[in-house]
Amino acid sequence: MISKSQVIYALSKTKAQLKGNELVIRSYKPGDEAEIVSLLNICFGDWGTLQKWEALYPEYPTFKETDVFIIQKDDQIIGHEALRFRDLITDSNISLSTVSLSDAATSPNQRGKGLHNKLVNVMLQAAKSRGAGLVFSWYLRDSALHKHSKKLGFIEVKQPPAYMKVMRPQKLLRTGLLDFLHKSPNLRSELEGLNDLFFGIDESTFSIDQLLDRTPLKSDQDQGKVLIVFTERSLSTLVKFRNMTKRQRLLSLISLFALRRARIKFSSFGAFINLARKGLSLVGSI
Amino acid sequence: MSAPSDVNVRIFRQEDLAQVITLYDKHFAENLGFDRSEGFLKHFMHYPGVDKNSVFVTEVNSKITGFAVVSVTSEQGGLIQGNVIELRINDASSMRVLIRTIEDYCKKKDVDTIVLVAPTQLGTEEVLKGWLKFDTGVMMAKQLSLSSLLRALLSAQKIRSSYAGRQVAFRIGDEILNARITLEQIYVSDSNDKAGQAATQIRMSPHTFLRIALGQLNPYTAFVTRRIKIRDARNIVPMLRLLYMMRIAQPIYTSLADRL
Repeated sequence: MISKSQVIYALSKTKAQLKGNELVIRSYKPGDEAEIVSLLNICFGDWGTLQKWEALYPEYPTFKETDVFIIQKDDQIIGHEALRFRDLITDSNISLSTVSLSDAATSPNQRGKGLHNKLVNVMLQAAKSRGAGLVFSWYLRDSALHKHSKKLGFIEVKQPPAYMKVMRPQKLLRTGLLDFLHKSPNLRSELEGLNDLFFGIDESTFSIDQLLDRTPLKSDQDQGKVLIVFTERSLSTLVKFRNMTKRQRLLSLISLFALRRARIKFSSFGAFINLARKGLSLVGSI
Repeated sequence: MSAPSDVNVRIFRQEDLAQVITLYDKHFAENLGFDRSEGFLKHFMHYPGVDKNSVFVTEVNSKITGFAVVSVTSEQGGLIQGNVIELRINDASSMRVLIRTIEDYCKKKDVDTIVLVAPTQLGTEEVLKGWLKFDTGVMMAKQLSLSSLLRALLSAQKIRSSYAGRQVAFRIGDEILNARITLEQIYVSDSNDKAGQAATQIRMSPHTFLRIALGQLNPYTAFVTRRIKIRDARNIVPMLRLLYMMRIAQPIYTSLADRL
């Protein structure tokens, strides 16, 4: 078992390594909350409020201040991840101490520097020193973190599926698209260049401008309207979209169009040419 | 099984807590899941979006048969979501009544979507007909403290009674630990502890050990494919059987509250 002093040593070693770059990994201190929540909202789109963070961490039954880790650069919080300790009760009614990693976030302009890796190493050592036998984590399938976790020795664990009852399909489509565009900035920038793009589910439609909450773009020539309409039956595929690999997403979209659960309508030939011109780069960024 | 008409549904009261905990204890006798002691249940009932009218129980003949905590939250793009963060039910009839009550509550709250993780039991598919099935994310696991893991995995009653008096050394990656099994307890010590040194040594990688522990790899297959090496054992079959008995069942029931 790793002793507390070894963890402190690892933490101080990481601190020393990072100090050259003016970066520090440290535990949470009261007063950090607002900055942490602001970082989470930048990283996840619309993560939530301070009340949510407090409910998830300081109010969690096993919480200790040393469970929340942050990366700081020039007095600014640029990384966050937390540990949540809880026992796993086995079918023989035996408790196994486990820990879960949650809300991994690195400021978008600090990504690709291996900061998350350093943070996770320190956190896993801390969790091990406190006797956690297993660590669990949840990732979006095929995301960078999911792929990275496999390199760190994580394996996939079966869990029961979730179920969703949709009361307002149009709102779900809108939110799903927003969430997907937040996670796919390339697709977002491709779509942003398109004028008069509309999405809809059955009869109700909304424009890309309404979706992105922006004033409609002015174009020199009106190229016509492109309308992508989904049927309610397509929702069973669309709700799984977030957790699909890129290949699965493309195959699902093709099958939706083939089964006529999704259709594209063009108001003019110009609209068709405009979308076709963007076609390959759009497909590549899905 | 009671008919749906026998099932009564109402708002949770503080005095129900003991019975709700018993409901979870029953679940843990057959399934795997995270701690649901009083502290955790109270925590879920104070989660953002949960109010005293969104925690429900079902009862049959004054006995609690179901428990649900609903949190209504506003998500990205203004989507109002009803999250059933905790759901524990004994039978399909109680589930049907509880789900109907949750739907009614969410309609009153002008909710756009309701999300839940249904307990793994018979009748779920039928009760949730018309609901969309999806994955909230991939659950991943990694081994941390080997001594904690060995102590827990070897503590099962059936192992303690079948292997009482045996000592086995586990060499998992670079770490070597000796495990001494007694009827009452499991003693795990490091390899420097001379008194506890075991003759038999089971050797494998942390990845193989984790897959065996989580029931994803059969130890017999792992041995045949040379992913497990056993040293100084007169008979390897009991050692492989021990590894087989150490596995924890899957899937692990994780409610929405566990995944948040």
